[in-house]
Amino acid sequence: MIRPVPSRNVVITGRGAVSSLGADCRSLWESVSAGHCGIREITRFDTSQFSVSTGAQAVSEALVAAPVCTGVVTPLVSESLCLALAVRALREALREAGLWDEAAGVASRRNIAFVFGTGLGELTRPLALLTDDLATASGLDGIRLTVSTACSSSTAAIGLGLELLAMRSADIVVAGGADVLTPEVFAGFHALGVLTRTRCAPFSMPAGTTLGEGAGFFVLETETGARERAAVSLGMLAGYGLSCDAWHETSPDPKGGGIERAILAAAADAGIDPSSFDYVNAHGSGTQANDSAEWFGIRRALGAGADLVPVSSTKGALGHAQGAAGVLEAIVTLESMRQGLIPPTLNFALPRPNTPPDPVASIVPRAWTVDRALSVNSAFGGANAAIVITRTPTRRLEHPRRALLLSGIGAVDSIRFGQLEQTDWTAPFPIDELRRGDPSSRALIAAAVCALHDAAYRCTGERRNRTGLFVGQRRPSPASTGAFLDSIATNGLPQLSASAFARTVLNAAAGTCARLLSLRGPHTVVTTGAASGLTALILAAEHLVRRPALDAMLAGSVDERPLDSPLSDDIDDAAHCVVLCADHRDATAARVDVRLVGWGLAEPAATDRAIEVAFEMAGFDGVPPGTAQFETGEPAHGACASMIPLAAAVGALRAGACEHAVVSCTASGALSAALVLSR
Amino acid sequence: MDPEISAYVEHRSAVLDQLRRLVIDTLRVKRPAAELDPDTALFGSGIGLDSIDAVELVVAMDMQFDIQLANHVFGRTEMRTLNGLVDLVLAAEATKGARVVEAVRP
Repeated sequence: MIRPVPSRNVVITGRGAVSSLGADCRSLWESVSAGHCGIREITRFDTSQFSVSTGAQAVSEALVAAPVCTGVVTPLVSESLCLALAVRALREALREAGLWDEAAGVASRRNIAFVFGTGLGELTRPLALLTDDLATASGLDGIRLTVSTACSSSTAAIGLGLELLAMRSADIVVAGGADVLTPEVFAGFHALGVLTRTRCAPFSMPAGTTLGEGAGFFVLETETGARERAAVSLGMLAGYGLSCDAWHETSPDPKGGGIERAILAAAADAGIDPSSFDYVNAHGSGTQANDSAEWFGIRRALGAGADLVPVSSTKGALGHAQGAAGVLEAIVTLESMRQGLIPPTLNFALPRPNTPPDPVASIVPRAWTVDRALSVNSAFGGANAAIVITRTPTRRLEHPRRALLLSGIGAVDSIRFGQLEQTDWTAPFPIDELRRGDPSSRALIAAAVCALHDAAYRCTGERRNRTGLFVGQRRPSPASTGAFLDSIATNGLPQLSASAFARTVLNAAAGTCARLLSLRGPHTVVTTGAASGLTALILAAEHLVRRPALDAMLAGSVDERPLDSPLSDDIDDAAHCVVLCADHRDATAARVDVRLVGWGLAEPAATDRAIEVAFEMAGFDGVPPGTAQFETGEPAHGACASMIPLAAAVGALRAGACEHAVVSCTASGALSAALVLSR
Repeated sequence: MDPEISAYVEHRSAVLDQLRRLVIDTLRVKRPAAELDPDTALFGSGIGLDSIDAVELVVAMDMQFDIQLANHVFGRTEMRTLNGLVDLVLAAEATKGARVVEAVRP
């Protein structure tokens, strides 16, 4: 029996920001207030081979701890830059929340969870290791979750931080992200033709964006927890929403359907009417494709009154800080609410068609009372995220937790993985839909197709909007990363392969899978080492169980073995996917149902606690008789490692070999995960 | 036929064949070369190419024909069909002096 739990109000008690407008939150807001623009000539690397030379580099003050780099920024240097920016912002956030021990130089409390969003995927170590370094450097020893959906990474990270608090996996969460301006990313955006020669002018002529960088974090905690420790609440994080355009690798759905779904989901999560937002901080990247699609989506979600709502973009001032954009914008949005001043859209000259009628075109903020603000971001792969920030608590609806079935499972093993390249299994899809797909995309899609078939779940019609996909993945496809680097080596940076660049984001495979299977609902990509697959599954279950607007969630994982790479570390090719359904029973299936009755996440090396939480949610007092245990032990590295025991558990339950099964993963340094399945 | 015209026709046809190979090999369009009609729309509902392909195609054409289209501003109209691409290549070749396509074959 799954019992309803009261939802917890979540407050923001700390902020930290490093950007082109300053090395802390105060200077960020002062710059925004003064109408300063952080876009300048790029000095970090040589731009003479490009038609564009502007960028929004983080202020030099913020890079004191960073290594000096001249010429080409090597992967290691870009990672160090990212660490330098993130550590600084992280400490500022913890300090403001009163959670920083100056003397010891670490967080002053145990078990603070850390959700880190970054797009930086193509050239670094697996992202989970970067997150580990950051958490360790700041003494954060709770759950460590990495979220990577390109330019919506930190927005999604804030949302999933809220989820961790709502599911009681943590009492305090630090959530946000960081990204850096590297020659590779600059060249990639340049090749796609989306960079403006001057300064990013959202919603205005001329179209085009300017790349930036930065880091930002929120400290999030429950309202009661904050009150108990006498922490000052700066505002409420009332809700979040995720979605996928399921449209194209780099272009948004021109009608803004994905944006609309993310906003509606965020409003529903916050328990408020979407027409009640009084300010929208838009993604507003300045590109032709984004700005009109985004406005269509906002207008559809907010309804008839949308034209009267001020919709501004701070990218004219901050540039497009990629994965860090969302959290920096959320920090500006929160301060706007506190000051009663909404930020202007800088560099606005001449409106482009189909853009917000009130973009706050000015160089100074506008006096405006904001009680309910919406902040939206969109990304490559069609991954959208929206968060709701409010002044006072909202009435988060108490939806009863629904019964969940694990109704389908599919897997691709190492032998079949390679065969996917040759065989013509993509025949059911529209012509050439997969011609740019890499091995990771193909394998994930194949596993998802098997799982949908096993579940007898047809994702068609309105169901496409009510079905989502969460994926646990360790790194982008090595084949695509290789093709990207090869194209740079062969053609030079200015003529690199744009299609390979678009596939170097960690969410490329998930985006392609969602596009081909029309999974337009909630969408994200997480990484937690060996527990990645199980983490995606647990977050998908938590997402589905309390949201009556959803029918099903797919959760998958994929590993692709790097070819001839010195980075190879015993990862085998594999892909797994499961289908979770709410209130869906397949009358034609002759087999027994497998129910997902409980799950839990806990800090690293606390598997017993995760199992305890899972059994408690399932309504069991301890381990019931007839329970079989399935676990991922050491050593395991791949994202799929935790899905193999899950498949065994489902098989055992279907065969009647046990009544209950507990699946856990002890092999991840990022967190402990467990779930309970029953016949 | 006038030998000059005949040489032009032959050159045009050679460029078209090379462009077909680019579309098939670089953009991984799974169709026989003969099916790629020179006047069928490459983008949207025709062959189904998109904005990323357009970028890839221009870079690949620059490499293949040793020309510099990437630095010029031209729109979708010129790139609409294979025949349009042939015109672009021929015009680019003309501006930098006559060049025999065979000479740039790898």
